Amino acid sequence: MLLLAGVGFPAYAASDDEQRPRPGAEMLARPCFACHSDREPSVIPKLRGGPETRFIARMREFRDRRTDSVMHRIAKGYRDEDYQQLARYFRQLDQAPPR
Amino acid sequence: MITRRQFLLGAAGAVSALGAAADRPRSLNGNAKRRVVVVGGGYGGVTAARYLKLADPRLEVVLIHRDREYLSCPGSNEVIAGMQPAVRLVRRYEQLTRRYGVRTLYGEATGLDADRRIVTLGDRSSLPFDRAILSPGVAFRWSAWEGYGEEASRRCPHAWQAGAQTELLRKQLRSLRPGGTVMIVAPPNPYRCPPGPYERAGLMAFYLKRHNPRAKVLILDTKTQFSKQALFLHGWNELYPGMVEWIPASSEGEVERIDADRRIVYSEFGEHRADVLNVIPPQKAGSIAEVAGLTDKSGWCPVDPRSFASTLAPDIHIIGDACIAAPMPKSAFAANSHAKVCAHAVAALLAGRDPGPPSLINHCYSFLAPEYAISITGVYEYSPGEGGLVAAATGETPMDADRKTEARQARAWQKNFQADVFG
Repeated sequence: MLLLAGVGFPAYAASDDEQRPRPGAEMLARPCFACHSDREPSVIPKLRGGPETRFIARMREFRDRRTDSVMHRIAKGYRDEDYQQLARYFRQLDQAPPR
Repeated sequence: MITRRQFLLGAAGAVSALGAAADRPRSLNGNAKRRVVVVGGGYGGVTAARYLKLADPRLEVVLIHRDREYLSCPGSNEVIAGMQPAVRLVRRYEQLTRRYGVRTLYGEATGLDADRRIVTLGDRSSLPFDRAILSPGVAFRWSAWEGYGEEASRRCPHAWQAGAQTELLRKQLRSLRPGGTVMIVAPPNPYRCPPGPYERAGLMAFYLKRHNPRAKVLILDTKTQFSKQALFLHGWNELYPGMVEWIPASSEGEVERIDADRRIVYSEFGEHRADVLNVIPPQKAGSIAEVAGLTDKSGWCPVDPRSFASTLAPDIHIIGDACIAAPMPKSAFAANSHAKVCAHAVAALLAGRDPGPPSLINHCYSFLAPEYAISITGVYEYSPGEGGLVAAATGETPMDADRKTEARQARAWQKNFQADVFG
């Protein structure tokens, strides 16, 4: 019994973690604008526009491939579903005026 | 241009409006004419004001700040080292008022009644609000180290709030005697900008290497470890061999007393003399937070990180250095992230909606030379189990990464970050 509980707990904690509700697209996107300006020309790329599949593929690449890039450290902090939400949000921004 | 008096009379009805906020009905059908007062025009406050207007343009947003200008702490180490002119630290509020319709009110917020929802200014005028966001930054614990009070800081600057203090330390560094010693006394945790004292040490060495090459920079630390430690130690050794020395608390013990006239620091196990003494004292939340009773016994403000609402007064939100948002460090970037979560939550709560879970980032660069920078990064989310923020990912510049690339990105980041905050 005790042993089972001991084994069970981390699994439960992990699934609890998995089930945490995810922030909405705009909430996820807002911190990004602190570096990725919507207006300033920069060596840091703009996020608006572009196909969703490209953004998602790029984030997965950052996450999975160890690089010196800051984006490796950042991409690891999000889940696949977050990438999808962000991709949709940034594509739709293309229609909106610069903030 | 509306004057402060016209504004007070027009928008708040000056003293006659006292108590009006408490009687104002809390409608659930939109945020029209709901007033949010933001106290503190630094990185947190300005971001909050701007993102409140982006979240709901119908909100009346009033930013209260002491002066018409703000002097940025980020970048001030570069000014001390002569890499940038002091004018580069000046920020203004024109974009905020013109582009986003935020009202500014210049004066010192001296009191806040959380129950009646009224903020009081230094000239005794007052302003009612539906919700308030405080971003008051830090205050110093002047009594913590014997001999180091506000008066002593005019001889031995802290330079931990930008302005005259930055200028004083810059001048002292320039007039350091040949082969002299600069000593930085680094504060205990938690404090504003954890890598700041170490960035400062490296940039002082950058200046001294060219102008006073036999001089030394000593860091007398009240801690046994510090932010980006391995990267800083490696960088100092690479760029300024023998010039920068870190003396941890493990070998010195506590700071006991400071003689500001003779520039001597007495610690538990010894004493250290300096020619230039930069004392960064222990810190607490900015004074309005303390006055309003929003701090706990740590001296900082406990908040619910889903909205940054005070756990002691639910209509008052505290963001930036003053709030407890561990494991996030106290930085301008973190304040910007708090502000976005808070602005979103305030707009949602005023409209009777659930703000949902937050998402935050901290990302900070430190320069060791104009072409040499390192960085630290964290992504944060809310854990219902922990009842607070947790790091979903963290990391630093890899030891073998190119510091010149980091420096180039740091410059781009500085520019874009300023644009996201001050417009």
